[in-house]
Amino acid sequence: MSKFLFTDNDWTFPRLDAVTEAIAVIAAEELHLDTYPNQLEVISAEQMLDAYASIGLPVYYAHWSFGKQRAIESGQYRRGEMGLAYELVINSDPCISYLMEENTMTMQTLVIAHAAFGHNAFFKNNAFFRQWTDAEGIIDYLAFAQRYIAQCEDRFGMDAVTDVLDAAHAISRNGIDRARRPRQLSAREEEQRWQEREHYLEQQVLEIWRTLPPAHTPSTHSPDIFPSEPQENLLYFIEKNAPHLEGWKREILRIVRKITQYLYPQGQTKIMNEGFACFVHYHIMHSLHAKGLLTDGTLLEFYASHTAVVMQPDFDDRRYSGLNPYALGFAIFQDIKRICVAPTEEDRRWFSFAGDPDWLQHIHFAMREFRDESFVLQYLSPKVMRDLHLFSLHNAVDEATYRVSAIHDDAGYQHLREALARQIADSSRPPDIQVISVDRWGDRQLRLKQMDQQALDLNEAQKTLGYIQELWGYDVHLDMEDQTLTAPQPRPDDEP
Amino acid sequence: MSTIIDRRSSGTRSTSNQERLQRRVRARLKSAVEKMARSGSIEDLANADQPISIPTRDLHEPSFRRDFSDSSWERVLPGNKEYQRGDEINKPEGGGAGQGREGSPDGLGDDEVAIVLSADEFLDLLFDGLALPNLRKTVQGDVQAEQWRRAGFIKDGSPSRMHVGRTMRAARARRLALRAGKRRELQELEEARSKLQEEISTRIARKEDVSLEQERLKILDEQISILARKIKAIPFIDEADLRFAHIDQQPHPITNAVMFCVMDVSGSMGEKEKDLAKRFFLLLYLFLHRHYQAVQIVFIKHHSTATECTEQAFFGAREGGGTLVSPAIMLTEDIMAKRFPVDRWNIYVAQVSDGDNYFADNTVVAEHLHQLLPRLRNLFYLEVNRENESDLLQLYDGIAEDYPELITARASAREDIYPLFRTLFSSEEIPSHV
Repeated sequence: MSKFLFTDNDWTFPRLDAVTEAIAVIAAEELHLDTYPNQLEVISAEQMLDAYASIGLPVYYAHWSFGKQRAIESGQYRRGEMGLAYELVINSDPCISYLMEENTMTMQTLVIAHAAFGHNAFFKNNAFFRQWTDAEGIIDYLAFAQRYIAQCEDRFGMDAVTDVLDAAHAISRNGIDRARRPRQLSAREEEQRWQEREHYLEQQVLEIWRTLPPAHTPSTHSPDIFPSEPQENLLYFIEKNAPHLEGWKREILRIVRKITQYLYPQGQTKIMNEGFACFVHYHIMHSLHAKGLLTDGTLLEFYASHTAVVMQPDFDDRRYSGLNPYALGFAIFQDIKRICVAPTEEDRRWFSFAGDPDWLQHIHFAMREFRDESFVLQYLSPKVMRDLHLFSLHNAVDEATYRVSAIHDDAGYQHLREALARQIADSSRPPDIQVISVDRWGDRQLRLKQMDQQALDLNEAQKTLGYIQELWGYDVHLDMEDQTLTAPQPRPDDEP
Repeated sequence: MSTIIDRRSSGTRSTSNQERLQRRVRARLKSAVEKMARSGSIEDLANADQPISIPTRDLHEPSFRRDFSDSSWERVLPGNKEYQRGDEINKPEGGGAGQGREGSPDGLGDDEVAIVLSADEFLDLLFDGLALPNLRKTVQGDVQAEQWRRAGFIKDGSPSRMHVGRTMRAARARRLALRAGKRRELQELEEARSKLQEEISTRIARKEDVSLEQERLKILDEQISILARKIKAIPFIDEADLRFAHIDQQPHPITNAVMFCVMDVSGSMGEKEKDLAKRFFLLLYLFLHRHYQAVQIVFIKHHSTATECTEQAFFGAREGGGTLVSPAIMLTEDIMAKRFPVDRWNIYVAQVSDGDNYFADNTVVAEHLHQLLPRLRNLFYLEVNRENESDLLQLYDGIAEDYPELITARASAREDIYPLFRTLFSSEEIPSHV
């Protein structure tokens, strides 16, 4: 009797069960993966589009921008311009993975290995996820956020809530404490806390706006600077210090900030997360086949999908749209294993762990301790650069031509690595804009400063300042290297 | 450990986002819808599920972002073929932001979002702020009809209406309630009895006198048997338990409407005139549909005689001859009397003509209108493609002074119809003449 888990390609619930069990064994015994319990949910294409529109989150508050996202994506999907992902996975405990009902059984197997074990293990073990997110509390918190915002719409009107959300979304990318570990979320605590706090805030004057001089000190106050040092988290600063923002608006800012914070590690680990998940599914599918649980046909179908996913079109290819994180991540993780198992002379020069037979330990270490930027800097090997034919192009504004600054040769490896790491860092980080001062004793204007040197899109910046001003309630200025931007008066109107 | 859940049946959850999106671009959607109503084809109007594209700049979400067009950068690219370090490559023309994606077949560019409106949403936008002029009157009184409705349960009624489920539920509740106290009492007595018996046996063992206890035991036994009988005597079902389904006559608004389309098909009514008429009829039909569950249409064409006909014949026909309006009015009355009793139907008449009528016929028309109008919700008279007001229109206007149900208008171009429609139904003052 054959041991095959399935021979024809229709999926059924018992088959999904059996496959998941077989994969769990391999994940635990061969890859030593430590995962959250899995919750697999079968969904339709329409539901997948829904999930897309809300960044994959299963529960989310309502906002027109999600409707817009969905309108764009469902249009593309209907016109056949965009295929839907086979899966979507949520960093939660239990770890929720969505399986599309259109998938074949082979695809479901691949998806379970990829998402329910690869991504799942990554979520649970990667340092950035552990530091920034609370997988256990997120679903409850999202439900709380949805409830709270719906209540606000009832109480204060849909338009008022939309205005606050628009403004909060505009600066959400500048709403992250990059250097500090955020407090964990607990939905019930949050709910209780806002109720108490809202009540308190409604009756209190904010301490920083107390302009009456203390009774016993001389009335000439030193022109103190507030805040005492620049603040990078604009959302947090406004939430805590805006002169007279209503309590519920502060709470909405807080919700947007918390959710942005939760999503932050995903943007920091795209290459690694996908690379690791591909590495895991690749290993598991082969292992299932080696154990005689998958037919040759299934393995061939798997190869077809796998190669499509990790394909990197060349820069001059019509299909090129940037570096494919799946391709790059998978190549690097596979190469870590190769460097351990079959090192070359070159590898020994580049990597101290070359030749160490315990490849799994190095895979785990890489998966746990890095994010994309440092991962590339640490592990992008000459072989991968050669395989992908990487080269770097430098553009100077005042020159008529681009210059090739490095290619995949001995002279260029180090440069390529660094250039790519910088590129990743730049694209995953918003412009560095910080609060430098508030004129507490005068007109309460808020002064922001751009701390990095890269050019800002002025039009966008101006509009964003408008939103900040709306929250802050007084003038807002942004100091840049060569000029100062001021928020438009009145705020940019979106209606045509 | 893993759980597998089938979520497919739980449906989509994007409606609230979509609603907010539409709210945000409402002004733009509305003008797109109105443009369609003004100049689009009639088919478009009738099945409006086409996407309406909205420029994304209306839905822009600003944030602080970098401007790569005006600064130096370095980028790593895959797929090097012949480049060596230090090679120079010409920048593409025009700033080099890269080539944009080509437009898709349906003409939607990258900078547009397509919003698909459901038929209801489309009509909501199309008829936003409009109301049926006479609806106020109808709501107050005469559209109410009596209808038998279920109205809960009562304690008496005919046996055929007895509700078994409710009856049994009441019986069970009564039994439980009546038994509970007695059961408790019985239990107490039995406990007391067993205690007493114990006492008796210990006293016997100690060779003491037990006659007093025996006496008490007898009394207890008697009480117990009485109680047990009482419990048994609680009837399984009692007259008080009976429940009957109740039905009651309740006022019920009439939700059906019928629209009589009356069109002049004499030689002077050409393609253009009919197109105007059709537009007007269609808008009216869609509009009535929003207020009533079902709208029926009766087509009547007339020249010197009037006939009821199909839609195709109605719009396709082109007949010559002179024009008499009164036969059409009479036919309308006739059909109403036969098929649409006034107390069951909301009746609307929409009449389109170029206004040529035999002068002598006008008095007949006036006579019939005086009888007909009180039975109608509205009569709309649209005069098409005429330079000056006809005698017929003047006659109608005169009557309209006494009957606000009669509404008249004139149109000479396609684009006139929708604005005219808006003024006819704008919810403020009812214009008797536009």
